[in-house]
Amino acid sequence: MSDVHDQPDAQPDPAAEYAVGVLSGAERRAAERRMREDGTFAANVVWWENRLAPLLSQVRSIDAPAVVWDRISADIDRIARVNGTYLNRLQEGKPKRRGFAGVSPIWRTLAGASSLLAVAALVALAILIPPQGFGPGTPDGSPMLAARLASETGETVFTVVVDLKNQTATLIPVDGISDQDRVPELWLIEEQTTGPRSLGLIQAGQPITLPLQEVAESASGSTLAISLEPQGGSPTGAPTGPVVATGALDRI
Amino acid sequence: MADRSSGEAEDARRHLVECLRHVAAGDKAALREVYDRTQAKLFGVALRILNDRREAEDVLQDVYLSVWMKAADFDANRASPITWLATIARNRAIDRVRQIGRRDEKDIDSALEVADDSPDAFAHLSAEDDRKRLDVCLDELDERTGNAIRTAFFSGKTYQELADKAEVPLGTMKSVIRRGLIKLKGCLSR
Repeated sequence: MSDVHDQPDAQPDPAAEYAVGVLSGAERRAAERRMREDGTFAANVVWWENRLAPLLSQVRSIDAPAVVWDRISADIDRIARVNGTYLNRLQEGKPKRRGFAGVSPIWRTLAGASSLLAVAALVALAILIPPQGFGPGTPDGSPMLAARLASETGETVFTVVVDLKNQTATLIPVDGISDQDRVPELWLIEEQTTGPRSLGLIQAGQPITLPLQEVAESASGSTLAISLEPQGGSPTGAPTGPVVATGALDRI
Repeated sequence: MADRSSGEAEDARRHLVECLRHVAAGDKAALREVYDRTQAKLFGVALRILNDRREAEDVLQDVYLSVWMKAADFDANRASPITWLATIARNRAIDRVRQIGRRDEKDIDSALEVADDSPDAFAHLSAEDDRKRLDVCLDELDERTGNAIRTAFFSGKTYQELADKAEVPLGTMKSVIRRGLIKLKGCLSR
């Protein structure tokens, strides 16, 4: 018997194993963490990827259906609507989070966010939190809109419930926005309007109810975004800082 | 002949590098150009791993959106553009297949099992000497090891899946591939 498993174990080389693709999901995550923290390891992975790349020429090319480009194009336009035209132009200095990298997965994860249970919990929370200086929000069947605002990495930062009858928006923080110098400001970006409309400043750490003006049911399908602004809010009336979370407003 | 196609490959590479530079500056038409030139290869790579057209389409969509966001990260000194793109596609497809679990392989398209010998724009994905060196080094491995590494690379299967398919113990498959990778590294570093 001279089968390999009778010999002493071969040393694993995680960089090579990652590049070849034999690692489990958890092992891949661990390798990716190490790539971020350990430059030598990351360079080893790239070395292997480049050395093995010639094999890719043996993979048969197959045309993807044209609809794939249409979807990519629509996603890009949607991202541009949120940040490109209105926000990037006004952004000053270097954004803390390099551009808006990675916004894309949000559009997909959003789809999974509106399970009935989650929405029911949202509405319950929105009712429990008393509006400040406004009549109590009542579960009387008046139309409500909800959004899950997620960061560029897909983590939910805020959930938002808009009570159209009482014209209030209740924001429930899920994950902190960490920025010592700036304050989060909420924006509504409607399909047919020229630019984002400020809905007011919010507090990162606690639930808050904001008074709204003239937000109609037609806002369903619009995008909400949170940008980081100087103390006191955007000086220009349009977002000037990095967008830290976005989400689509849907009827519930 | 080889020189001519190498020249064409070099032109294609330069063109893609230029396009990616424009993509980094927010030029959507440049992304379309990158897409048109590379989608078939990337779709083939993703489909080979996922064996599911819808999933491969979703991966492709994610890949080009990532390229749109991250084109500035591309460093032409570290990798050729097609290698960079195909590697993103491969990694996304592997992550996806780990997430959803592997589908029944009985109906895998037999065309996908076959290596592609037909020359396309990216037949010369990498510099000719890189290609030759990898061929030589893989050929230096015994047949079983070489095949295991090739299969692993093309299918994105885990050690466990490879062991199940080859009907050998997990430890055996790990040893075969790990030993092979050590030898391969030595050979490729020469």
